[in-house]
Amino acid sequence: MLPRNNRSHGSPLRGGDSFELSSPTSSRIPGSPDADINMSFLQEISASASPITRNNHNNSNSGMYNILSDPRDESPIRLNSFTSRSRQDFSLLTDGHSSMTNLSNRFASPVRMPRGLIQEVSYRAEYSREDRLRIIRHDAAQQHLNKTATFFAEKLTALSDDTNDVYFLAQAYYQSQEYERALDLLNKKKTLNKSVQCRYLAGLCAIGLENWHDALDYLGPDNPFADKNAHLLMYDDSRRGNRVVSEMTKLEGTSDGLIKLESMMCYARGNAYLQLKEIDKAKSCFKEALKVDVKCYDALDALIEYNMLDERSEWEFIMTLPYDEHCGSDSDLFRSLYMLQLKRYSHTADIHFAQKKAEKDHGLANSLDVMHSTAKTLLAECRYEECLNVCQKIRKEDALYKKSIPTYITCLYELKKKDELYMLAQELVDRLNEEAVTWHAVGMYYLYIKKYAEARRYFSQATSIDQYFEDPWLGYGHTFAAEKDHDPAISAYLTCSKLIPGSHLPYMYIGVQYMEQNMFGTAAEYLKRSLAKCSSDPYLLNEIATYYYQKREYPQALETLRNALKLAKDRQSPRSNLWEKLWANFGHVYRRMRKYDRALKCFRLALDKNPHNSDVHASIGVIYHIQGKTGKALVEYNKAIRDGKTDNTVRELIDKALLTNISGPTIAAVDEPDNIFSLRKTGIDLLESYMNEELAALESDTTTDQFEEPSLHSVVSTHDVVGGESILQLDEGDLSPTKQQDHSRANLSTKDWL
Amino acid sequence: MSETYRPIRELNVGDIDAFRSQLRQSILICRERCLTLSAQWATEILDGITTKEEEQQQEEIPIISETTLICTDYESSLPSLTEKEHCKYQYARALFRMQQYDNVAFILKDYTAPRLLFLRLYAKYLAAEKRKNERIQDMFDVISDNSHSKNVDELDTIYQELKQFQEDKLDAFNLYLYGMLLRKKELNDQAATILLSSLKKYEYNWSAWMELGALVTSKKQFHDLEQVLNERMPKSIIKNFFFARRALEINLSQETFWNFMTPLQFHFQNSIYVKSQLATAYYDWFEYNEAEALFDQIRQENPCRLEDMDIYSNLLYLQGSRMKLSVLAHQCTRIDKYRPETCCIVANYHSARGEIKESVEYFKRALALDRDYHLAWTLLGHDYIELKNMHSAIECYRRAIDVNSRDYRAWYGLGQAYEILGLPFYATHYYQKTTELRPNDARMWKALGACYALLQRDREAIKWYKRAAECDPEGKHRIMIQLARTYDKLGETNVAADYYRRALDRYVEENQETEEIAEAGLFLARYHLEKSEWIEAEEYATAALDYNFPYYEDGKSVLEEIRARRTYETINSS
Repeated sequence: MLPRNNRSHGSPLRGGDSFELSSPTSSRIPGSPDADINMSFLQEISASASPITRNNHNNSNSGMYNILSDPRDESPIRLNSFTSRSRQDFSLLTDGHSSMTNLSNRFASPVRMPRGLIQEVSYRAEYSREDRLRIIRHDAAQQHLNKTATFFAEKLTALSDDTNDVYFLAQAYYQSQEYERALDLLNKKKTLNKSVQCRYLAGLCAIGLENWHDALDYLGPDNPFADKNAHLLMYDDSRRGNRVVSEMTKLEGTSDGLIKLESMMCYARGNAYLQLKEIDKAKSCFKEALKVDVKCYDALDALIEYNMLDERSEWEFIMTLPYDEHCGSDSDLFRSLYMLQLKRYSHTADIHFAQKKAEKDHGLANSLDVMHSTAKTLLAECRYEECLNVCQKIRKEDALYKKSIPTYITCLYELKKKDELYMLAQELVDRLNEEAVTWHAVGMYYLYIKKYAEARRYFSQATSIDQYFEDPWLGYGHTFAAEKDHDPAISAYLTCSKLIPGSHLPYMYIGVQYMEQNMFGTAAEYLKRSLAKCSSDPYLLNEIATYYYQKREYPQALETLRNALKLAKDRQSPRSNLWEKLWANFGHVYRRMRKYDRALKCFRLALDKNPHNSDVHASIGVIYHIQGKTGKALVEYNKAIRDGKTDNTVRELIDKALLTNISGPTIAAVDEPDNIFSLRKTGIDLLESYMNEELAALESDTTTDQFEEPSLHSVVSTHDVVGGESILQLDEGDLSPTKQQDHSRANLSTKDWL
Repeated sequence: MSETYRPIRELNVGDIDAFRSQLRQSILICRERCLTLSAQWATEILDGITTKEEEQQQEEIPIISETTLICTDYESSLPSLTEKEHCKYQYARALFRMQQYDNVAFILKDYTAPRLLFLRLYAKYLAAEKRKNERIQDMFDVISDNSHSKNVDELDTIYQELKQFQEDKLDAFNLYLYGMLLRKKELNDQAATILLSSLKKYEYNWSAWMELGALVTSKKQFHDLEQVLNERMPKSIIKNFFFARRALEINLSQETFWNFMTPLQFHFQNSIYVKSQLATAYYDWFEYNEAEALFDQIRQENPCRLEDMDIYSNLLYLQGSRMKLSVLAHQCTRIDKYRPETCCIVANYHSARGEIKESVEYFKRALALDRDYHLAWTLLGHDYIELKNMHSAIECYRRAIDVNSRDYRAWYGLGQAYEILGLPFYATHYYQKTTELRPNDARMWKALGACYALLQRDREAIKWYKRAAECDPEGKHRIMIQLARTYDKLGETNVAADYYRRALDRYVEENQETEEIAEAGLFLARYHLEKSEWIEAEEYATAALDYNFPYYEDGKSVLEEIRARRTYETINSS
């Protein structure tokens, strides 16, 4: 339920959802105006207060609460309000935030205990009526008795004209989704300049009303507290001398259990920017929110969910957050948990370590997020079966945990589990009818059964519900790509790339689309952009190698492929579909470099993954053909045709082979096969040793390549003689452009890593 | 090309006894694993061994003490099953018999004991194959993308599971399955290694031999394998059966076949399997009479045995004995209508009666029952050629070759089809292949020559024609006509005339009457006319007069020309 909040703000459909606001509201409470009363009575209260109260004092230390405390200096009810506030703290804990704060451990039964406490306190005779009403108001608000809360809050405002009471009335309105009313109230009572808290609430109301610009007006276009001086200027008139306290608390250190209001405001601001499609600003707001207070997970979730950071900056950002400063002894937990949110392209070892830590040291193995992180890792390694198991486990725990659903869908798609996919889509339609992920699932189902028009419809429905949801955008593009409809595909990917700046996939797919249209210049540009966003995706490197191949820059292609191999080596399961492509491409490159033995080896490795790859068969045929082994060549050509390659190139090659066969000696048709019964230990270890060979080549790259160059040329000349012009020409005419055909779809999986 | 004749090690009675007891065990072991084919083969061979008792004293009928599975040499080498495993296994086996393969795989899904592992994966494999067959709707369906990849995926999961084991961790049967999957993936050298080590661990699994056999597709491979096996299992008898069969299947020379068959024939003379092999061999060598006699004998011994009867029906078709074919067809239909062999026989029967459409239907039915039935593919191809449907014919032949790349009839058919389609250079490739497979078959060389002639490459054509003539001394004259025509085309009239004359002489000698005589006669007449040898010219020209249009008319005109020239010349000279 938590992760959804941020999205629900933006979505018009979510407006009526009663859950959506619980998180901002409840998280606001600790910093509520009541808390600040105590600032000036620090010593007095802390002497008698429970541990929570101390937390609350600290919470208000950031300085901005001081304004609120002004009216309180003379307030008659400070003790009273203290108790009621402590009450809120308890209920806050019940609200599902327990995972966020370490306080939870202290209160085993959060609801009952404080209730008793309050009742005990509230009927003490020394409290005024107002105070008693306040207690009722708080209790009602806490128990979602919105009308009761509104009723008493309204009475209180009439009685006291206190900013604080105004604030709570506005909050009660807010809770019952009367945003307009809340805003009116806040404006009418001129609270906005008196209380940051009220401003924040006003901002939230504007967001609730989808008046994004207004929201920004309330919240300020950027963080007013970023620069302390500016903040002083801005609020100087309302500060009235609590600077001493604020500075004192600042010195005390900022590590406390609660989330700072400043951070929350940054987050809300980011949300507003997001809705205005100012993604860069939104991104910096979210980042700021986290920097101000690491504990503001909403902001992190937004960053991850909307994929706003590319791979490297994401790593840097998450690793450099001030965990120690903000979380104290829990910094380790926070770091591990946040690291699990990273993309899975590089730093695998670190992420793995974090995962282990979260599971073992912190005992969170059963947490959905931690399990989901395992699933993400498995998906990135293309271990679909295992990933599916984890996803199913998650679904058993919580069938509506939306985060893992796209992963689950991808697994089902890749494992070709059509029925399960259908069932999942159906179930989601029944239970989560208004979620983007539901329509994404439906779209994926139609994509799987190759009904592209329907798939498109549902993908676009998903994107209209949540325009920052990457998967359906890519799926939308794929439906066009599958029909070879390049332009709409490209425009879909482009939109996606604009909305989701952190993902390299849209650019990669655009590159692929341009390559398919033989527009290499443009393709290169997009591939480069993609690479700038993520330099460690082997799939992307594979595409870039293809690009070099098409441009006939074979040494570069080879190097890129080797890099891809290096990345893939430890991180792709042997069953990943990447291997086939990678080895086939190695083969093609070596073939073009006329290193036929190596090429054959690579092609064999590709065939090991998929013996029915007609492209590979055709290429092997070409090599044999050039080497003059026409008989073997013909066998391979025929295999290529048998496996469904209806290309005319192969037929032409067959004609050529047959013609040379006639003019040449007849023995050519009778190439002897190798002795396969010699019981050599080949094949099985071939892969391992060859991969190492390639990697070794990468290590000693610069040196060997220079040495190899001359020998390469000499090979060229000899083969011109042997193979004859005609074959080589056809060879140039080439079979390989097809090699990314299925790539775009196969690669669908990668997009879900993000 | 000559075969080196290696005398095979003679088998002695002791060996046979050991073989017999091994076969008895093998029946138990293979049946336990639901390898019905292996078990059936073993029983058939066992049945054909003449026991000492039978030979000597009839009165004392010895009683066999039945071995139990656990006492067999192979089974006792494996770790024994727990009770739980045993129960699950029996349960799974019962389901397997009812062909509930998926259920078997499910029941055994958590067990790793070798026997359970095998049955589970084998069931998975069969389930995948079954689904594949069910997905195929049309016979020529180039197995549609989706279903094909589905099958590949299903097999791949089995493959991956086996792959994770070390080679020596798997037992013989799992290795057999692994080898089979490797072969499906066309990783032939790995498949060979694995299958050999499977056979090393347990050699009485006939299915594994058949799988290994499928890897042997050339003479060189045959001898490579022979060498390896002679080293690794010198004493094996089953090896002989295997080599004899494979030598026959891939058309190796008669010497190679006899090399393996002779000792078997001696020791297993009553075996119906051996007889059937011999009959097939004779059929392949065009010794139709011997083959027919043997087949008749087999049918007398066991009229219910359908194996190899398809070959018998081919033979009867070629022999033109429609009556016998009809009887065979009816009897086989009665025994089992839905055996691929039966369908093939019935198809042959229809084909012999000229009912090509019915024949096609029955071949299709045979193929629906067994898609790897290469004989039926080839024969169906022949039918399509008759129906002038070249593209279907080509497709059929290709399928046949996919199954057995040494099926020369299919290669020849391909050549023929392409020749008819007017693509002689395609045809040459296929004819070349047939000459490779059957270097001593004149028809192949002749067809090849004809193709080259069509391609206007007369020199090569002559080369192949001569080769054909060498192979077939009896049918030489027809080839000589071809040679003569080609030389004529090249303008080497003298050589052409020579060939025509020799051919003509042969025809006259054999008292045959064909148009070729007229053709040769006319040519020779004109040839001699040019040389002003009137008497010879007249003689040859008259020979052409016995034939119809256009030879009669041509002959007449040549005669007239001779007369005219002759008179003209006499006048001139006088």
